[in-house]
Amino acid sequence: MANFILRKAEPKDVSDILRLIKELAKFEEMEDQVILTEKDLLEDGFGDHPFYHCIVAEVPKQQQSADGHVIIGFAMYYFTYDPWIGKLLYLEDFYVMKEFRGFGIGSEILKKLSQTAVRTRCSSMHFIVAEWNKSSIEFYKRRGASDLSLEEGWRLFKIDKQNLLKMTDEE
Amino acid sequence: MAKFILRKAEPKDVSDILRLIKELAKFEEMEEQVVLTEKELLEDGFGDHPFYHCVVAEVPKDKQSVEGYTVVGFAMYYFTYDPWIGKLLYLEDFYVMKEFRGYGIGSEILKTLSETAVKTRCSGMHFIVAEWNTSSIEFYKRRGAADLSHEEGWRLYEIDKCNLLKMSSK
Repeated sequence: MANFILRKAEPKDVSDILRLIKELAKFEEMEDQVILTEKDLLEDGFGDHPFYHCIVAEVPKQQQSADGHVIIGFAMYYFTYDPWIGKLLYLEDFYVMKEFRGFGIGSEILKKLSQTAVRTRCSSMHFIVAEWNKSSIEFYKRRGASDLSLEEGWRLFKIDKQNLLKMTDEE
Repeated sequence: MAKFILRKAEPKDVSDILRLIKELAKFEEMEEQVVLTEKELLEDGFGDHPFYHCVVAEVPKDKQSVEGYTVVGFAMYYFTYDPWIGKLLYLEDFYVMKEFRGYGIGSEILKTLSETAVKTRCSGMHFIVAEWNTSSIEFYKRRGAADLSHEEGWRLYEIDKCNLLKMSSK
């Protein structure tokens, strides 16, 4: 059984955070799309105005992973704003290394995020899940999550940098 | 033809912002779901740590709306973070009063937001659109928007306050 603690990420954790981001991206078959660097993570997360917050799960050295890591899970989140109800906690990334699953680490992370959301007077927690990711969907539904895309018909759109630049040039 | 200016919202604008939020909600047939107050908009947008930013469109007094308003459109946005590429500008609400449409106000707002996104080194702009809202979808697609829900299968989920409390007290 894995002993673990959950704590706020610190600047020294950016290397592990990036490693876990890449592992999760690999699972989504998108590993080469991670262009973020440790330097970006450091500036964006630990400067005057953090653009994200992170919780990490850490095990004692004697329980380290097969490849020698003690940071074995993380959640990245930030605050968003719903013009009807106000502040929301947005869960952006959430991952526990395969060999450490089944010990309740994911549940504890979600519990901690829930406490953060309630304490900061957020009305709810939002996140996106890929429609093929059945196990994650079930994990969240067991905790009361509802599919707003299904219920309310919301679709996520993006305008990429190239098209943003096009618009800035237009008269 | 409507003359207008775009500017950053100020604390004095919260009453107009709330009015426009409610007008947009009414269009989405959700008006009674707006529980936000002017006080919250003030604290959340103009305190030490703003949770949102607003751009407002204003017309001169002699061009005011039928009911006497000079703030005739707005966009509410904030910054989000993609763990693969970093900062993004997230467009949360975007609305121009019906009598002021067709003058390019919406296009100018989107242009201003694009400039903000580029200036703050965001990799892109994200936003959600209701699938039935074909005119908005066309408006965005004309500007290069891609439907990530369609292309990548993303679905938006919510865990509401009730269930958060359940989880936090387990």
